[in-house]
Amino acid sequence: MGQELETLIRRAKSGDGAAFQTIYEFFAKKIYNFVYRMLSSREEAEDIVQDTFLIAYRELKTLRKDGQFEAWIYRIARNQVYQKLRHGKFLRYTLDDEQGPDVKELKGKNPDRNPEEHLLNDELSRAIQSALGHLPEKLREVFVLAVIQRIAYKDICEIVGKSLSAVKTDIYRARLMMRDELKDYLHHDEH
Amino acid sequence: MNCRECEHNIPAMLDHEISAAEAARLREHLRTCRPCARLCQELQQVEDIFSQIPDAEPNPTLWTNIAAHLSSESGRRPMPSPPWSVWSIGRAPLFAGAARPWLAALAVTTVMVGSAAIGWHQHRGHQTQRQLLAQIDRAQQEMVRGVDSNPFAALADHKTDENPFREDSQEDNNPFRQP
Repeated sequence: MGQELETLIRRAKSGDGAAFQTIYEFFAKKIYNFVYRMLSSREEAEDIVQDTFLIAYRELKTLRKDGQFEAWIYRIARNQVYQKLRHGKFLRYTLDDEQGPDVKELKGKNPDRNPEEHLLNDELSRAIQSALGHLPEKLREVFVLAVIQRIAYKDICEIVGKSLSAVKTDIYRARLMMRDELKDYLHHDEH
Repeated sequence: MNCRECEHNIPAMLDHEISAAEAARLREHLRTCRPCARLCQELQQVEDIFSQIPDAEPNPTLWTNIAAHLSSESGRRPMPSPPWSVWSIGRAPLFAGAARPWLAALAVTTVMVGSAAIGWHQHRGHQTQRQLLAQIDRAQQEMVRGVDSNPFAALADHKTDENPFREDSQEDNNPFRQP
C-alpha cells in the first residue's frame, strides 16, 4: 500500500474526493476499532471517526511526509478521544451492549457452538471489555495499538509521542495488568 | 540474560520486535528459569485471548455522512484547524490565513457604511422632529389667539397627499381605456 497510498494522498491533497474515499476505506476500520476499544461505545466511536476524517481532509495539505499518514491520522483520532474523555465527564468506560460486537461476531463465525460455549464467549467478552476499562487510558492506548491492532512499536511512538523505551515499559505494564484482570481465563501447564 | 532483561524482552518477543539473536538468548533463559517461563506463558495466553477478537465494523453509512459534510464545505475555504489542538473542529481564528486581508477590508467597509447610514437616519429624524415642534408651536399660538381650536389642524393642513393612486392626481396613462 505504501507507494499507492502516497499517490492517493497526493491526489487527495489536490482535492480528489475519490482518492480520499479510497484512503477512508483503507483506514476507517482501523481507526474505528482503536476508538471503540478506547471508549467502548460504538456511537462515540462513529462520531470520532467522522470528525477525524473531516479534520484529516481539511488539514491534509499540512502533512509534510505522506509516508507518515497512518501515524498522523491515528494522532488526530487519539486527540479526539482524549478531548472526549476530558470534556465528557459523563462518559465512562462501560459495555455499550448487552452483547458486544465481539460476542455477536464470534457466534456468527461459529453457529454450531453449543450453549455453554456461547455463555463462555459472553462472559469472556465482558471480561475483556471490563479488563480494558480498568486499564488507565495511557496504558489502554498502547495495549490496543500493540496487542489488538498489531501496530509496530516505532509507529506507536509516533502516535503517542513517547520514546521507544517508554512505550515498551507501558506495553509491559499494560500486559501485566491484563494478565491480572483475566487470570480466571488463564491456565497453567505445570511441567 | 538475567530475569530483569527477560521480563523486558518478553513483550517485545510476543510483538516480534526483537532480533533473532535476542530471541535465542531469551529462549535460552526461559528454558532454565521457571518464574520467567510462567510469566511468558501467561502473557502469551493474554495475547491469544485478544487475537481471537474480531474487528468491530463501522456503520456503512459513515462515509455518506462524511462525504455530505465535505460536499457542503466544498464551496467555501476549508476551516484551518490544527489537528493537535483541542479546538480542532469548527473553530478558526476569524481573520486567519489567506482570507485575512479580504475579511479585514470587508469588516472596515461594513463599519464605515453602517455608521454613515445611522448618522444620516438620525439627521433626518432630528430635522423632521424640529419641523413638527415648530408646527405645534404655531398651532398653539393660533389656538391662544382663538383662530383654531384644533391643535392638529395645522399639522393636517401641511399634510400632502402622497398617494399616487388617488384618482384625481393620476393621469390616465391607460391607452386601452374606452373614452
